[in-house]
Amino acid sequence: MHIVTRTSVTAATCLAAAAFLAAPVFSQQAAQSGRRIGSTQRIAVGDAIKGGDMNIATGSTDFAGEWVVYDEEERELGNFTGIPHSEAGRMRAETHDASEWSTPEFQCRPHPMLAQWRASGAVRIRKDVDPVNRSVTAYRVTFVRGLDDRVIYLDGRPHPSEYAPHTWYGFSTGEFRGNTLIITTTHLKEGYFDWNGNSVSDKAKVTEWWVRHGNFLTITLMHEDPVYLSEPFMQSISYLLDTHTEVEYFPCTVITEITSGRFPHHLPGKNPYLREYAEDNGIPYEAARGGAETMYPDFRLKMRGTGRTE
Amino acid sequence: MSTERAIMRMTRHTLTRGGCAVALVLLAVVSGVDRLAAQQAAQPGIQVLPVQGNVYLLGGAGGNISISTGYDGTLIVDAGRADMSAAVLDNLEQLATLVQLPFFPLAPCVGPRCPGGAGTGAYTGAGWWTSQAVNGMVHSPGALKPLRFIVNTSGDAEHAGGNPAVRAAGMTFTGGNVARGAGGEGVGAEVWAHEAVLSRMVGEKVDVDRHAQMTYDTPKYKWNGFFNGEGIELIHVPAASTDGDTIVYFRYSDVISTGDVFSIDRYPAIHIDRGGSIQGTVDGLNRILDMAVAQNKSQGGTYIVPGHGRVADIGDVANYRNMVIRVRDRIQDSIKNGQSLQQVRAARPTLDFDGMYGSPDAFIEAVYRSLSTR
Repeated sequence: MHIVTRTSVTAATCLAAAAFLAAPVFSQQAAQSGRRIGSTQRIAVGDAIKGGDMNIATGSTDFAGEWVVYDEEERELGNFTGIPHSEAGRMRAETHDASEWSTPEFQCRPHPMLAQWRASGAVRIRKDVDPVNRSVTAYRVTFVRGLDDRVIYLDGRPHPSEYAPHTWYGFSTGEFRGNTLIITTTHLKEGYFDWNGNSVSDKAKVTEWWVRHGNFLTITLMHEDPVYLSEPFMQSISYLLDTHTEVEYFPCTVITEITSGRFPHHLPGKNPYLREYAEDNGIPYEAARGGAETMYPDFRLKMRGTGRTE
Repeated sequence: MSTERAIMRMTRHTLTRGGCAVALVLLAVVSGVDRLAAQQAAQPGIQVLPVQGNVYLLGGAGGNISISTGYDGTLIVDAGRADMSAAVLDNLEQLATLVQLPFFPLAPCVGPRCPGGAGTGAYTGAGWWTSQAVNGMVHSPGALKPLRFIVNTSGDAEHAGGNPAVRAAGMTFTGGNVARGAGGEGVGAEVWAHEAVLSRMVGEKVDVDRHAQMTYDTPKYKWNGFFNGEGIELIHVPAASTDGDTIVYFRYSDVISTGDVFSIDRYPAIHIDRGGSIQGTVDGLNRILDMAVAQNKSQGGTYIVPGHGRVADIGDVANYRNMVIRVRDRIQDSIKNGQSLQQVRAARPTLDFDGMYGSPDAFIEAVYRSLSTR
């Protein structure tokens, strides 16, 4: 019995070791095979349609499915820490009044793209497939509380004319680098990337990196805005694949909420709520006001120099 | 570039500068007129793109020009700057050729197995061997319908400067007792504007060639019949940029052409000396918001061609209106506190919007003067 057990254990260990050693080899072969097929496809189709400008998406990662947000962060009123606001961005944020949501035009306003990832709750990602060559020509993203379709074109089309309309989600094109989908978005409407007044201009550009690790989807966003930011701003958020979730219909009805005829906003320097976050959390007000330097560790030293607590 | 490829491009319905270049290639292939391609290349600023329904936008010739072209001919809202008239006329002709005299495309897929089913890829809905199909192969386009109407949203040189040359290239169907023949003589297109525009042009001794021949002096003027299948309304916006501003509503296409009441890429141009005011500007923007309907969630639906800049919708106009109100309120507060114009400028009340709308000097001064004289 004892001998049999030892033999079994030895055999099992050897098998496990063999499997462990072999697995990466198989994985690598599969990955290489995928890349090779993709490359061949690109060349073959490219040769076949001489002069054509259609790209063939060759990524081996599938992002389609229903996903639910795995982690999220909400910013309180007056919390602008770590945001590289320009002077204009700070002024815009500090004069923001959340009552603007009462105006008829904004009651049904969806979260703009930058805020949407961090506010979605759930998201459905679908694929458009070319019926001829079966390549993925676009991803379509539906956020639970947003517009029906955010399209990410993968077919190599250019971004539209400067005279084309801007939208809440902008115009997006993507391409695979390995297993990462890199997306560029322009033509965004003026909007916000946080609920507390952090604003996005219509000149902003967003780069996204979509990475999937098993059932996790991580979205990393680099947000560049020559109007409201002095440096690029990076954010990321993760989603979990959920085969039981539904992205439900999300209607909206406009009603009369404001009768004064005025548009709610604070005059510069007269927003009475800006210090609440800093005071409640024991954070220096200068840090709470944000700015590029608050993104870097050296800012702590500067704050220590003021004698303030962190 | 092959004809087939040019047709594929055309069907994308994107008549941007590149699209227009391709349209030119199409014309060259079909009619052998490659001279136009060289002209287009010499007009790098001009862009033409579809807006919605019957309406197209021509940008880059001064103020934006909205275009309705079809079986009734062509109507344009504004004529651009005087120095851009040749380019405007070239592009109007190219667009009218594409819209009025369509080149029947050879289908990308024919037969019952095409996506969409049988017949969807054939030459025409009527079948293969029809006169239209023959015409598609033996292409010989008919004559273009003329440019018949120009509506000036204001008398500003960016919008009405091109009136003389553009008008001269058009035609008014006089008929009846005025001239013999079915359509009458070509006497140039008819130029429309609000009465106040003509009054100021006369008062300012503007060259008579730029004048409107037809004016209205009511709050709204309904076009006297459908044009290219839809009703058109001219709506007077009193005291916005000037006292003679007109916004034009294409009712079926659901497009509003705003002139300088709304320009998405710059601060409002308020000409106090010509009857403009900050409150009139806010009222004008609210009027546009009242007329526009979103397709869904403050986006799409009614499209708006601004006086300058890109095509917009209700969400964009709301953002712009909110900016104007913020700045107005800030300057009003400064005036209440006794600040001079120089002090207001020094306080930079538009700092958070300058990156989107450019230099604020004229706007701040206009708002200050407008609020100070109330």
